[in-house]
Amino acid sequence: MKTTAVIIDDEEGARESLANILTSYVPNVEILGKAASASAGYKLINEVKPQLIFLDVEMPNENAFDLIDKFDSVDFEIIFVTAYDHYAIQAIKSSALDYLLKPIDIDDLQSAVDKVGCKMNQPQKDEQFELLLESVNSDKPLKKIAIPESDGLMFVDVNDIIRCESDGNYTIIYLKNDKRIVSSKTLGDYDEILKNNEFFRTHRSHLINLKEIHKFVKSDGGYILMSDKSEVEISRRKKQDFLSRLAEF
Amino acid sequence: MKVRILITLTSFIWCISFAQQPLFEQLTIENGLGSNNVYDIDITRNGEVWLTTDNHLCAFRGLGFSTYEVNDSSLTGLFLDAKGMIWVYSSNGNIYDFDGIRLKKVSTEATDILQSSLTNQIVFESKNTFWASTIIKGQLIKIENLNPTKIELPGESGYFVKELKNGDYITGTGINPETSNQLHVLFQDETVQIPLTQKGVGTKSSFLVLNDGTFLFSKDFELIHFDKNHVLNRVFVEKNITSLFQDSKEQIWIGLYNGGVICYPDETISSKNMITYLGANSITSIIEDYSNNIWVGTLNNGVFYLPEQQIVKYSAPQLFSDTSSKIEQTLGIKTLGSSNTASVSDLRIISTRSTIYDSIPPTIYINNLRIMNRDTIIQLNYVLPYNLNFLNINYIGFSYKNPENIQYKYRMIGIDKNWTYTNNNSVQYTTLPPGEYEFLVSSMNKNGIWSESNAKLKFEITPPYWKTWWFIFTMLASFFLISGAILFLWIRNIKEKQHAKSEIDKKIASAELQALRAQMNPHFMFNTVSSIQHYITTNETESALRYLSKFSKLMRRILDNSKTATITIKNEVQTLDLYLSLESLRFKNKLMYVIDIDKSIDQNYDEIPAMLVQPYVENAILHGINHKEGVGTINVSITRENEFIKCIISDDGVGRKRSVEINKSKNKKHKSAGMSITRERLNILNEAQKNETNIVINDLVDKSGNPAGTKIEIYILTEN
Repeated sequence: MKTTAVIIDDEEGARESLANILTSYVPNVEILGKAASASAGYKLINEVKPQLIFLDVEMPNENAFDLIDKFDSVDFEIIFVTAYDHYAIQAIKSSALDYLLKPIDIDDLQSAVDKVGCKMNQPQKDEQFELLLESVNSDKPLKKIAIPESDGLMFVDVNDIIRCESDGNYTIIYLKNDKRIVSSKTLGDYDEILKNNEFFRTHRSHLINLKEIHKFVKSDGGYILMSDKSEVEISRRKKQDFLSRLAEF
Repeated sequence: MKVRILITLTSFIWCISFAQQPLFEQLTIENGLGSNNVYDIDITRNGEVWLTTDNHLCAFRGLGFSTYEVNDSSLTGLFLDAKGMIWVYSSNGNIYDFDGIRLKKVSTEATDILQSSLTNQIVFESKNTFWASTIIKGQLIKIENLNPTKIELPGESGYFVKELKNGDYITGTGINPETSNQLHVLFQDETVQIPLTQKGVGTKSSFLVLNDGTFLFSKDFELIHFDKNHVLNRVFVEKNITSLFQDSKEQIWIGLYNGGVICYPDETISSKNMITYLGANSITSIIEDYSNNIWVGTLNNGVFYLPEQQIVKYSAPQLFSDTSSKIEQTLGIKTLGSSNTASVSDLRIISTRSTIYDSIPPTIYINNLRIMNRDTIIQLNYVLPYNLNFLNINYIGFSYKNPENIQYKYRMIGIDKNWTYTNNNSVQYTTLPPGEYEFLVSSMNKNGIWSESNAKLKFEITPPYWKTWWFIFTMLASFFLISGAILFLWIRNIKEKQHAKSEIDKKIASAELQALRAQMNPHFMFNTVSSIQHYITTNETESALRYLSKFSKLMRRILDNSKTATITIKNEVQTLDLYLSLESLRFKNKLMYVIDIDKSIDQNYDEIPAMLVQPYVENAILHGINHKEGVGTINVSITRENEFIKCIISDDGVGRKRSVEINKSKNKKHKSAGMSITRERLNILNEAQKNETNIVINDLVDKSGNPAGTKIEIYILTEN
């Protein structure tokens, strides 16, 4: 069973080369059509009802997010395609969505399509896109993030996160109410996603929510007592930064 | 009969309330008194005790008080006339008579005069005659059957006027400051002037005729006992005197303001012969009832009652006969018991005769000075260190006529603002602060004649050395000097540091820019693009695509990494991997590479400056592997060594020497910009953190000693 897809990109070269690469290297994708703008893409999607959309982020007039906004409910997957747009990538990452960079790398494309196949029937798409639009349309720190877990996505209020701790390539996220989530992203990823929020990397294994600090204990080289009574190490190198961050906080 | 009832009742109260022999019983508002401010007390012949409180007339009939309210809150005095009528007067000039049920305001020409002209008066009465005195010009007003007559007194009468008896008057002057501290006693046949210690108008004064016919006069703290010819005695007490009274046992009672009651048990008025009662109460009036019980009115604390048997000295009871001993308010007048009042024309003024005085001034000596409780020899001047500042001064005055009646005043100039009056002949000064002082003491005989000169002592208490001006100045100066110097050095140090830091920052920034340029090495870029071109022309689409995507990923990374000062080792390694894989595409089958990261490195966390290692790798390829025949291998390993991250880039190429030779032979001028930039950056970074070895270059040799490549070690300082 092939995955049905459409390509929406304002540049003809990009559309054609993606189509060619898909045809040559990702044979389990069937391209139902191509569109050169968001509005044309909207029509096309409603017409052919694809399972997957390759969507260029930056397009004249209406961009990718304007297009998504037109749908009340989303019943397709999107792989974003962008040449160089950090701001959008940040939002896409925080919503746990997929993206490809131009020029398209064959291996990246294959793994992205594979991933989409895995989560095709995941039920929380609407929530995920809602989160994406929210974080794209506001310059304020993120309110919510989507955290990929072993069995799906978890939407978490950023204010509910007390701290994140790395565990190899996984990250344990400690929430209020003593809940915890084990995420398949690294602590570095969360450091990146939450860089505009009031979070601070105190240590190679710790990222903490500054709002949830109970107190900073200076003895024994210093450690931080969080609101859930957990103690968090702070590395020597970070102490100065931490204190000045606290001062402005 | 009624007297007996009162005695029984009061004794009853006494027995209930006070089992443990206290002296006084207190009756207050809780016993039904109108207010705790009692201004006057009088006793009727049937034993009722009448009192005025603020706006009540109160009667004590044994069990409790009956109160009669009047709309006048300044009732000050009451008087029982010969018919038993009760008259009440208030300080604002109103007179009330009491008909047994209520107080009625008396409104006549007399009260009009009192209300308009007497600013601070007391009205007294003898039968149906009132006497009132004003404080203005000492006017005396006689009010007979409620008809006023103004009586002009001769001479300069002062701020209080009283009729004594049969046309004898006592006045004090208050107009002329020169003579305002004189007491004038105007007898019918002569005038006596008695000097007063304190000047002043409007202060409290009281007057009493004692049972033996002598007079007692008080003003402020001064008590003068005199008769028609002599000043018999003069005493200073601790507080201002408010009232005087002599009871039927000849005991003299002195009421004080804030000082309770002094009782002189016999007629000798002296500090050795006295008993004090009632602590610090403010006394308004003292009176004795027909059962010889003493009643004392106070401000704030109601009335105190001293049962007869408690009085210290017992003598045969006498009938209480002299109403003149009733106590009055300030600036009052009163009449004596006699109803005969003399007309003014009977008064004659006779000039004062010095013969009635002890006119010889007493002498005064300082007879002992003790410093820190040790006797010293009397000198005129003392210079004492700060810790010998506890002084006891004894002085003595000699009066030939009345050696027992000497009073003193003393003053320590430098600490006392005013003279202190006392009958004590010693004074103590404790912990005098450093400074200059002069002690003056003078004595006065009973007639108020002060010694002609004061006895003096001069003291200088020197400050401790740490309080002297030169010490404080030196300390302050050195303090400011030292702290100024510290501040100056500190600021200079900070400035230097800031300067140095900004220099380093500048250098780092420019080195980073150069590093970026070096990585965007045109040689490498265009060679890569040309390789892609090659794949396109030979229709190797997939290779072209892979090559292209790697190239774009590398460019993206270089751009991204140029934005931050440091990147994670993972990032650096991935960038290096992209670079090496591009180069290995170029040098088909000629370049192999291994990147090895030690476990001691946390790739996701440990950071190093971006693009630091790449130039050495590039150099190894261009000069080591490029010239080698066959496959060359580049080894990149990253390990931790203490606080340093150590990068080893080794190749198995031709070695440095050979490379230089080859380049020479090819007449190639190669300038390794990238490496020198890295060296410079490391110097800046590590120097800022005090390190010496940054880059170590080893030429490798094989077993037979031939060059076998180059090994470069880069040390980057980080914190663990």
